Amino acid sequence: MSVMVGGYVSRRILSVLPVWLGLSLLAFSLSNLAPGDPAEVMLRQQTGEPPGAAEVALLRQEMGLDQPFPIRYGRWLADALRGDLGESYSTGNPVARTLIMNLPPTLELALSSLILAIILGVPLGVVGAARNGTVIDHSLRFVSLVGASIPAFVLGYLLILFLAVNLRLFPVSGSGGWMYLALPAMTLALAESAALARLTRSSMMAVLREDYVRTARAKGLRSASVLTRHALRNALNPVVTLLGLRFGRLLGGAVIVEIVFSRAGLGTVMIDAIRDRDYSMIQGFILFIGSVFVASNLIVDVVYSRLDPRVRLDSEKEYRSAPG
Amino acid sequence: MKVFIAVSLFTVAACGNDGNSGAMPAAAGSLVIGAGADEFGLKVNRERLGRYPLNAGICEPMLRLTPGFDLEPLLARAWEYRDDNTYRFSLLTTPRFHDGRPLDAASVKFTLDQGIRDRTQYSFLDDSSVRVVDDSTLDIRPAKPNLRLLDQMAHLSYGTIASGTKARDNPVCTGPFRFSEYVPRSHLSVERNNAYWGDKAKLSRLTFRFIPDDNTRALALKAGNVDLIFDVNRSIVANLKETAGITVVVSPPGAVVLMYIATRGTAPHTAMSDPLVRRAVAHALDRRSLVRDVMEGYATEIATVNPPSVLGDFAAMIKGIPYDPARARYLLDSAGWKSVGRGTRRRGGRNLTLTLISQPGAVDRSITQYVQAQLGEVGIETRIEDLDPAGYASRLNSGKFDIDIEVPNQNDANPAFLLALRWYSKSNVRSAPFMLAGQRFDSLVDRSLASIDRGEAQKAAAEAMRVLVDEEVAAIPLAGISRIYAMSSRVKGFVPHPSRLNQRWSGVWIDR
Amino acid sequence: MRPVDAVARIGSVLRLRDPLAIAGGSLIVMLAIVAVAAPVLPLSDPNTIDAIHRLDTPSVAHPFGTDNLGRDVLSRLAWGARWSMGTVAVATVLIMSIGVAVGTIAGYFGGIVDDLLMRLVDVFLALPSLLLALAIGGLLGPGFTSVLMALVCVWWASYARMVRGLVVALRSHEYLVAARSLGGSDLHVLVRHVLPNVMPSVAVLATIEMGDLVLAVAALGFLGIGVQAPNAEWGSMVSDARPFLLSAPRLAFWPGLAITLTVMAFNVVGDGFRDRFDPRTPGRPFVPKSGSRTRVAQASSDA
Repeated sequence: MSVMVGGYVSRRILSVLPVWLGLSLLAFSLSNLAPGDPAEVMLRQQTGEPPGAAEVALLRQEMGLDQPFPIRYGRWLADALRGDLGESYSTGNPVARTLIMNLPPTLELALSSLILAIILGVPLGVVGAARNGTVIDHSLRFVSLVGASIPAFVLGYLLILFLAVNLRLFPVSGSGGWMYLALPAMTLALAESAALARLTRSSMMAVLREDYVRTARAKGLRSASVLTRHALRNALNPVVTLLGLRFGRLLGGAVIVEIVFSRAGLGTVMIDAIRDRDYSMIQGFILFIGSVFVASNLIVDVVYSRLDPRVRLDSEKEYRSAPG
Repeated sequence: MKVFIAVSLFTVAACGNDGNSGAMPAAAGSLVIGAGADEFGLKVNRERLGRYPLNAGICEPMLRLTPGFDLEPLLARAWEYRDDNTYRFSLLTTPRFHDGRPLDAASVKFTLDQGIRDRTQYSFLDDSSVRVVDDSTLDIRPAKPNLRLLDQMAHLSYGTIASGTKARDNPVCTGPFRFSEYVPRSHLSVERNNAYWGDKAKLSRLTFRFIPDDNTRALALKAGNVDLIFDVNRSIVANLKETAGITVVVSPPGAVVLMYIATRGTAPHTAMSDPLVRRAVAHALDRRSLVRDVMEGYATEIATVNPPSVLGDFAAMIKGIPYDPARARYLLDSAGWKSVGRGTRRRGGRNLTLTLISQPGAVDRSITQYVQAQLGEVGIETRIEDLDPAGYASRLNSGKFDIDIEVPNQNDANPAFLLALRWYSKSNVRSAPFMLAGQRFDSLVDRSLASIDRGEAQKAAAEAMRVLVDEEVAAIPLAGISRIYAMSSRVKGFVPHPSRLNQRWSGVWIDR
Repeated sequence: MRPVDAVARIGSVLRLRDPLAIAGGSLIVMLAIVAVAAPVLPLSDPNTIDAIHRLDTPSVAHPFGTDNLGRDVLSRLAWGARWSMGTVAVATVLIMSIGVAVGTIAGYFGGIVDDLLMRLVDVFLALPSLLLALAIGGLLGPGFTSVLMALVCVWWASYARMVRGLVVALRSHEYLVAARSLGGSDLHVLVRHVLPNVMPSVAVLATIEMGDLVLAVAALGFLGIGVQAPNAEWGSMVSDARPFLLSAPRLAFWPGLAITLTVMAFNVVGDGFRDRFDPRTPGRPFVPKSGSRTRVAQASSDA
């Protein structure tokens, strides 16, 4: 058994390698295909003034920009494998360090909204399933539909206006303790909890139709106890899987939310990098986020394969990953 | 004990007759300021942490810019021009750095040398330019003729840091506040320098919180998260004014919304090389309506390209070109651009289409769109391109534009600052060759740069500006703009400086 | 025809059963009409600036009021629909073409071609879509083409994966084997036998993903990577309205509502389609399973 699992895990890890390599190629070629000359951007950022042609040519040589694409890519990849993503063109700081330093606030936001989404979404899904077809079910369904459809930048400003400016419950923007985290987390969590409620509901309904639940009910067990003891435990399996797979979407959503709330994190780093044409930062960012995402999927898969051996059979056929 | 303190406070208050005492408690609180985006992220700015582009009151240059854009002594006690392009500065001996060391000429040299190394100086200095004469005296001789050096020495970029210290991590200076903490993209805090050589600051702590979005900044003030905000968006002012407990303060004009013109643009951007078309564009723009309606009155009509007060008494020499759409149509007709009905004018099978470039973060979109609409009235089609900084720079530096709208600031006392930077043929700015304003303009700028007397320099600069704006129409000033601040009514003693960089904080306190 | 009948007709054409989905479908049809007809509708010019009538409250001339430059908000919303829906429509066609082509080739030919293409798909799916779209749009600079490129680059991969799965399943089907053994060329088999079987599922996926596309277009517009001034786009309208959030919140409210309603419409229709054509997928329970009585009652109250 353990040999089998070990084999699965190592195969699963191996299957990630080509994806990661492709990711690095995508990241590198994207920023190399973009219009604009990195050497010129770098000089202008450093001096605050437009540089001369001779200076640009010299720096191009120093940066190795006159080398052919495969050589530059190889060099960048080799450095990346050692954890060195180069220096930011605009700030001069190491890219890898900037990304790692800005990961915690973004993770903090993504994770806290995930938790909030679970607290909100799962009970709503259960209630919806238990009260299937009633007014409660329909209203919950409508609310979660709105939650899944409202753009984060609209919801964010609504929350700021009502909870921060009118009621003064939380600060409008910035970074700091949990008070600063509350509004961004709520903004991000709403869409997520809608998706969770929906999945919990459908999963619950499927379980409720199963024979053993009917039997339990027939035996006269109280409805609440059937729901929690028997149905919910089984219904939560697909929900747990979804959580891991939704993580990438949360990271993507966090970027917009960070901008609305002027919150430090990877989102603002990314927006600044795009604004400043900071190619080294952008390619590092894509590789970094892609790696985090691939790794989180891998962990979910491996953990899940330990919990439920049936998964391995599916997963080995087709590498799973959710569009974020 | 309590009685004793009260009595002694009373005594201090009663004895303090130097004008700035009043019934001020010893610690007048901590002020949180909602500033714009954190610009210290850029390598070139990080070396000037707390000095430029945001001045936190940590460092002081040798001279100081008054709200009237004149000079007054700060760390320098006296100065003289010693011929041969050289200025001699004598420093005060009383100021001490935050680490306790006395101010010395070596530190001023250290500061200027850092500017030379980082290429942030703009005074033609090189490695041999700064010479220490003795502990409190130094000579500065730019590598090229530049008698405006004196005016430039008031720039906060030249705020003196203690020799041998690392300005990017901990700026050690002589100012009324000392550096406390900098968290990138979050905040910069400073605390009162209790050993300050001049009038000590009233606030115990000053925190600049970086809030890039105009609207979020205003909301943060309304929600009571910050005490004072920078750069209030004109559209929010009315709402803030109606809010109880919030005061809005407006500075005199310190910047200009300016239309730069590609007088020598790269093909196909050649339409504006015709002076008739440039003049027609100037006649087509209703700047009064722009100021009154689009900018909601928080701007002034202006004829100069920088704040008029920097030209002293000579600002009136520049008249500006009046709004006269009929004249604009006539000029375009005589330049051969004929219109068919209300459509875009054509000449030789080509449409009169101008490319307007701008950075949305720097210039309000409503302004560019208003210009677009007004030019449309006289048959000129305008294509607006909102660009990011890199795309913007590359377009500007290759002459691939017809019109560029920017908001240049005046942060020193040099009347020829912008002239010598942007339209002067000897400027080393790469966009200058595409915007030249002609030989007469150049020789007048030369004269301004070579004048020892400030009045003469102002007069020559004003004449150059008249050529630029009234004759060549190589630049069209659209509106003079003010710094708008909003603050909690408990914030007292705030006097807005037209140059944000020269804003002073030591007189500010919080009323309880 | 009474309005209720019209709605029911639209629903039956789209083969939808859920009242909410029917309402969503009607909204989409309406938006599409507005988007196509915006130039001929009796609206003011969306880009004409009128500095005197700036920030006007709703009136007969301007039912939704005017914005900070005196432009008619209703007209800008209508033209915004043209941009948003237009971008999404063009992007969807491109995405479907690329996704179907890649997926079909990979699934039909198998082997190394399949492996390579599917690893490529994995790479594109290994990035949060909004972030990748943002990076691509940001690198290419603002404009309609950048947005289109960004959307296509990000979204083609999930289509390719799904189509490949369907084609692999079809490949072993008897009638395909028969068609091939009868001497049909690959192209013939693909066009005549494979594509017709794949397209319904592709159409369902496209509907489901359109809500996400609308959100992505709006987000890019909000971040300044959308269509350029003076043209209106919903996301950039919200962004432009931010300074007026306190004084004229309606400027942000209308485009915000427009985005939300459109995404909602696509989501419910997508769910409806999924339920109709592909009943095994999760998410289906959004459609009430109770008797037809409830449905009829709701249909009339919704209409």
